[in-house]
Amino acid sequence: MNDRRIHPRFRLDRPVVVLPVLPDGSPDVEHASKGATLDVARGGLQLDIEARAALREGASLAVGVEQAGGGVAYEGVVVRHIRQRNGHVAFGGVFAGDAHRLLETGSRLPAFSPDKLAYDLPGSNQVYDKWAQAGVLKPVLMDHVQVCPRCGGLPTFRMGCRRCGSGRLVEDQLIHHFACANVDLASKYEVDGMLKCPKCRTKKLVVGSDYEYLTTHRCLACRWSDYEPTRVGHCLRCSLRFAGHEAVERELVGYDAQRLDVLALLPPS
Amino acid sequence: MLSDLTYWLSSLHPEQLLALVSALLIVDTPRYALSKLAMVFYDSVVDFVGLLRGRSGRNGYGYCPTVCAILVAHNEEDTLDPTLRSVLGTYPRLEVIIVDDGSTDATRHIAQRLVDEFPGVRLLRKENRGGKASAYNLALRFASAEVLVVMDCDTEADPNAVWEAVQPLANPHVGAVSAAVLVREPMRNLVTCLQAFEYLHSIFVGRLLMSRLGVLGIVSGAFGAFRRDVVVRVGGWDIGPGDDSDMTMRVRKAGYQVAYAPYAQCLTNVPQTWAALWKQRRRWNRGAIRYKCRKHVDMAAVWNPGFLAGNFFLLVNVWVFNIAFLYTFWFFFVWTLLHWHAELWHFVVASYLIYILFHIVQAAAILFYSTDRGRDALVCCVLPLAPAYQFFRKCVRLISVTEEIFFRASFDDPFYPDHVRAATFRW
Ligand SMILES: [Zn+2]
Ligand SMILES: [Zn+2]
Ligand SMILES: [Zn+2]
Repeated sequence: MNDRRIHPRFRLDRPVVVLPVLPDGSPDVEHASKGATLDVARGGLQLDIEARAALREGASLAVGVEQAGGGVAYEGVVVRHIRQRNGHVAFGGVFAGDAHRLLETGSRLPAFSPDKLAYDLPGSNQVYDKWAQAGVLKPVLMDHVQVCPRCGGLPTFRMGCRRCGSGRLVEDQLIHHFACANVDLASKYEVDGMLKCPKCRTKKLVVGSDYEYLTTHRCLACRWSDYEPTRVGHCLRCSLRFAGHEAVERELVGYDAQRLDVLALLPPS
Repeated sequence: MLSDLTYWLSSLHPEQLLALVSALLIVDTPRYALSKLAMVFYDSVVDFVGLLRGRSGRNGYGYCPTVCAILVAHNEEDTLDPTLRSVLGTYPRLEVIIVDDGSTDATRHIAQRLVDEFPGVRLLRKENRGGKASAYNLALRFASAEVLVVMDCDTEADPNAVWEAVQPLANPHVGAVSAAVLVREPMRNLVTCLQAFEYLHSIFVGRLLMSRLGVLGIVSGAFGAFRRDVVVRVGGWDIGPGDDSDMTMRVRKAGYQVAYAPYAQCLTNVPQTWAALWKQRRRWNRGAIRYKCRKHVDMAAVWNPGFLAGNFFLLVNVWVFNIAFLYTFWFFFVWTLLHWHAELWHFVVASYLIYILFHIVQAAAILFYSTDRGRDALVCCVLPLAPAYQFFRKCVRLISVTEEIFFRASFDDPFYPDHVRAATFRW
């Protein structure tokens, strides 16, 4: 290995658990094997494990190293230099491969995807679940988002018509005349520059003592009128319009991992 | 004139006076009992003839207009939900408008939850309480249905109540329909039981009689149906209290009939104590003066172009039996106390027995029309106490009619908020 010259190796003897990575990226729990570390460098480590599964060069593994203070720290390696030793396998591993990528922070947290118009993890959810079941990843609630009830895409929310969801609403100003309980459009009260009730014909109405204003809303799209506009969701992905309270509240789950800190294992230089 | 009358009265012997009182009482009390008896007789003959001709009793519902139910809620957090659920889903072409009239409790949130749950329900919110009339008028702007059903928030409608209530409107001359309001939990205590009996004989059967005679003058705000275009034409609701009776009178004035649907039944909460009942009746009885003697007195004006004989008799009925007879009763009551002597006990017992007899006739009429004879028969058991209850009602009526005549007390009723009462017209 070329990096041997650049990064000198240091002896280390810690129990390890080794999980092969299947082609779909999930852990092969059935073929997990135990062993110990031999030595460690900045770019990789050497291991000695029970020869349970046939290892091949270039295979991707997740290696869990038991920590001095308890717990297991994981790192992903790619297999190099396999040597068989009476029932054991010794091999070198460089920090790379599927498991290594999975353990990077960016691939464990959900992010907004402009293509899908939704929040998503980079990989498939089943793979993350299996890694979580294997104990390598730990699910953590990152946030909550409201999504479209039909397609799960991200909606926008605004005040709109309760019947058709349109945001084309105009306000109607009404006057409630206290004396006769009449409620009508303010424009119907305006006669010759003063206010006159169209029902009881009282003139010169004074706001507060004779009448109050009420405001209602009318939809220009469907002609429905309502007292207050309602919160309407509009899906950016599938264009569905739905009542605000029908939005589906979804948990955004990320994954936490205890990652092998190689620098902490190396003696101070 | 008045001195002649008092002179004539004082010249009478006590026995002659008693005979006069009895004659008056005979007209006052049994007029309902006897006319109901006649109505029951007529209906049973019609039923019997129908039976002989092989006609089945009641037909299905043939009329199905669009209906908008309006519920005005002012601090009704406990009752709004069950009331609304009692009508939802009982009629195919139903929309509902809830008006939250400046509630300060959880009514708004309960109403919002109902709006989210049921797509046919709309909520209108008035920040400041303006009273029932303006709340109805606001709802009227949003309703587009042919028929408006107004409901009180403490009332639960029977599943077929909306269907029953709209059927009389198939007749284009009918502008409003009164439903039968009955008492919920009648056997709770004596006060509710006596009211239950009263509601049965004066509303359930009484309104049937009044509507047959064409003088029905009230569609209870608890549950009633109105033709929307008629309501719009008369200018919507006016300031109450008694806005339900006022609206009915104006519908009649506009030339429409007021019908009664005895099987559009709903159960309402009634006062549970004598004090609460007293308060409620004091408010109700003022309407006889406010609307029937002042605001709508022009219904009796023969020279008016829109004069209708039915409207005239409606007013005369109230003037004679609810006002004139009220004062006559009290006049003779006081007179009897002043001229009390031992033989008068016979008279008291005799008139009590006469009252009971006529109440039995009333009870028979109730059971003839009843849909739940078991329940109603139980309520009718309170009958021996009914004369005492009637005396209680006469006391309230005396006070509220008098205070309305002299002080216009209904205009000080907190049923409407201060700023509205200060602005409204004094009839
Ligand atoms: Zn007015
Ligand atoms: Zn619309
Ligand atoms: Zn969508």
